[in-house]
Amino acid sequence: MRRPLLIAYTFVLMNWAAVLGLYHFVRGHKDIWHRNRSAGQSLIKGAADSGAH
Amino acid sequence: MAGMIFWISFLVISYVYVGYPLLLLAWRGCAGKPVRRADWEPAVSIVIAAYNERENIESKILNCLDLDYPRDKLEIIVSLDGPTDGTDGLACKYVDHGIRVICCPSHRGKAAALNAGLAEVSGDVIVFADARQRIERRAIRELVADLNDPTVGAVTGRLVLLDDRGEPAADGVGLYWRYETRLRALESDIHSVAGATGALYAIRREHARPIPPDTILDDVLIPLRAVLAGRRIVYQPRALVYEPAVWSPEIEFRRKIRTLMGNYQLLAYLPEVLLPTRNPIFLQFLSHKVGRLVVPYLLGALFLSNLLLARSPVFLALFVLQVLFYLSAAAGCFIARQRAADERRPAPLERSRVIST
Repeated sequence: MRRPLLIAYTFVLMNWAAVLGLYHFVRGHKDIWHRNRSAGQSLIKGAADSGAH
Repeated sequence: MAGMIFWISFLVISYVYVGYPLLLLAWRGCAGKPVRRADWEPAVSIVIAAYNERENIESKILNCLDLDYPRDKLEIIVSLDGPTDGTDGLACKYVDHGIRVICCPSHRGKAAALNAGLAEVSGDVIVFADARQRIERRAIRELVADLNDPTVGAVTGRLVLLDDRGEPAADGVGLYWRYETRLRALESDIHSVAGATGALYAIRREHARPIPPDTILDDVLIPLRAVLAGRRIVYQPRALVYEPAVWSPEIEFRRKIRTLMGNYQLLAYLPEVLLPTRNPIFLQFLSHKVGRLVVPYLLGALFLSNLLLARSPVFLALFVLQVLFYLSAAAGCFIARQRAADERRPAPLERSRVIST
């Protein structure tokens, strides 16, 4: 039951990311990776958020 | 007018997520291009660009030293982007093991660290890797085997997202990632994937040229140059690299913002990718990369136009389905947040220890 809900959430989130991506690009935020990194670390214990594509 | 907007939005969204993969399946059946793989051992330089990676850098270096590849043909370069957490000191401990450490004095970004690493490479094949993920022992062999084919300019590995039990993630993000991976495999079988995974990819040295220092998607820009030069970027599913983290939609979300922001920058830096005469994977690039940039706005248009058309029973039913979908997403958001809160909460033993001290 949870899985379809998480799939729907992930789909919406990934699309929202495209809108925010344009926002950050237009604003000229080049270093978002590093700011996100610290947010990621606080979100889940010590998990560094780096590098993957 | 609302009807036209609805159907255009519906058709484009359906094409990007369903039609395009089906087109690739049919295309592969008609005109798949197999890669002529062979075992060979060219000189390989691994470039690991890192910033503050105190927690990961030693395990990454040990991982690279343990790879199944002749040590005399493997150069390992750690290019540090002005770390402030002692990553440089930890990396320098392995200089005696043949690791080369380049340390930029100030933090200038990953692209600058990659350029510094590229200036020092001596191998015929350059492998780029990030600090955090663990490379499977045979992965380098699997990557270079594809480069035996002269039409191949770059090979990307397969990033496996692991859940908190160390198993491949199977929830929403895991499924999303598997969909993306499958799409890449199909694109690779036809000609090229539209970019590589920064966690692990290999490229011929002649294509690994320096990139603008503010590049966001180095792992798309560098390989795409090889495609524009007439070579292929192929996906090698046996070149595994593991993301040993608790992966969550929120982390994937942040990664995705960067990726999509980088796609806009890519269009500015490499506008020729939008020219069918210059880009041999123009249709793939348009369908996969540009399509993902457009779909969110079409989803909004689909919802609003459907609302305007909801007086008809059919459109009302479709609108209810859309509302149910977004309510499901909201419920999924709640579940994901609960899960993240549970992961942050200390285990019972740890809690009792905290209370007793």
